[in-house]
Amino acid sequence: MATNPIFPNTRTALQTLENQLAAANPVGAQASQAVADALDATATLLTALNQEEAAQLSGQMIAAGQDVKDAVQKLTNLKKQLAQIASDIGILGDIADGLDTALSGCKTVFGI
Amino acid sequence: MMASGCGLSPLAKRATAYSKAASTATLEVKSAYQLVEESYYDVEVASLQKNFDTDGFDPAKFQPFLSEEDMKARTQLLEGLEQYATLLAAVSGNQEVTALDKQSEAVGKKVQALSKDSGLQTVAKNASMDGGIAAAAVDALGRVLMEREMAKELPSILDSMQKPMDQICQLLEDDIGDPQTGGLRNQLKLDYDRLIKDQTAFIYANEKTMSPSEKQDAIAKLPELAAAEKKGDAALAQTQEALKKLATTHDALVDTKKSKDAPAFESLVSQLEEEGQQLGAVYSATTAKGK
Repeated sequence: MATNPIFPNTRTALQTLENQLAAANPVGAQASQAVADALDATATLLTALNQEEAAQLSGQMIAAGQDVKDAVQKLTNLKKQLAQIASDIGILGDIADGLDTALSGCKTVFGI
Repeated sequence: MMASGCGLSPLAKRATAYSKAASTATLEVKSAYQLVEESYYDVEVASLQKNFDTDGFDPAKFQPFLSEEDMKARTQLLEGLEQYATLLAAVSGNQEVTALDKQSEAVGKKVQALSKDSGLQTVAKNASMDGGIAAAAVDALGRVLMEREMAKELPSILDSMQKPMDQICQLLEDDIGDPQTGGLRNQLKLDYDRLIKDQTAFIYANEKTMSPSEKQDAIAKLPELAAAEKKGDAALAQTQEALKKLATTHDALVDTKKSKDAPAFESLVSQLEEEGQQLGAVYSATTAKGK
């Protein structure tokens, strides 16, 4: 896993997205819920990567659980909404491209 | 277990001082894992509160961040380091070490089993540490704890443990990681970022039904969460520093084998002791153990 470049590349794409969402400043119920949901999903995927790395110390490996599959689905569903509100909530740059990179990497890394 | 100091060689006195400082610092490394388990638990509770109406409560979904097996590997590694510190003090004091031998042997066996774990051999989180090196370092620690004859010869123990100590400390430092690239520090950031954004969404979703003081309290929680994240990350970074110092002080101890005076070592060991005490205070203030 550590030698496959898809693993660090996916982590970098997810972390970039997580940083953008954590720095966002949504105002109002709809925007804040979209950001919270997207951040939950992104953090769930990064947590799974952290757990997979931690498991290497004791020899246990983690298969993609339902929470990982749900998180990928949630991010896919939120892509359009996030792209629409990105500039309003202070997200700079193209969030859709970053999301696509993160999602395609996750599908490979977790075998979804 | 500590030696009186009377009639000890300069090296034995230094090993005793190192043992005391190392025990304190190693003990506090465990708190780093506890800190992140607590923030992860808070996220699980927040998620339950958010999704309760649709998902209900499933106790099986409440799991620690690190599985029992993963935590056990780390606990055994830290127990091995603590036992090594204890062994140094006992050997330095020329005390009867039979009881200690048994304890060391038990810990050594566990540590050696860990070194043969297939997962440990594949640890390759950074270029300076490949899985084979990690396994060899852990195996060396286990061997030192198990070999009773060798345990009575302080200089040879120190020699054989110089590299393994450096490598095990590096392994644990890597495990604590970095906020952006992985490990405990990254997990802590993820947890608090989620808690902050969930709290923000909660306020906006419920502000119409909240009283003014309820809304004030809910808003006041946001800077508290941000401050807790900052404090927690600082504690984890300080733990990495303590691990670095644990290794460099051990290196300095090895270097002073033939010296009568060792001012550089004395300075390092007092820094290590101070670092361990500071960490104890920091973790008491930031984890449930101090509440």
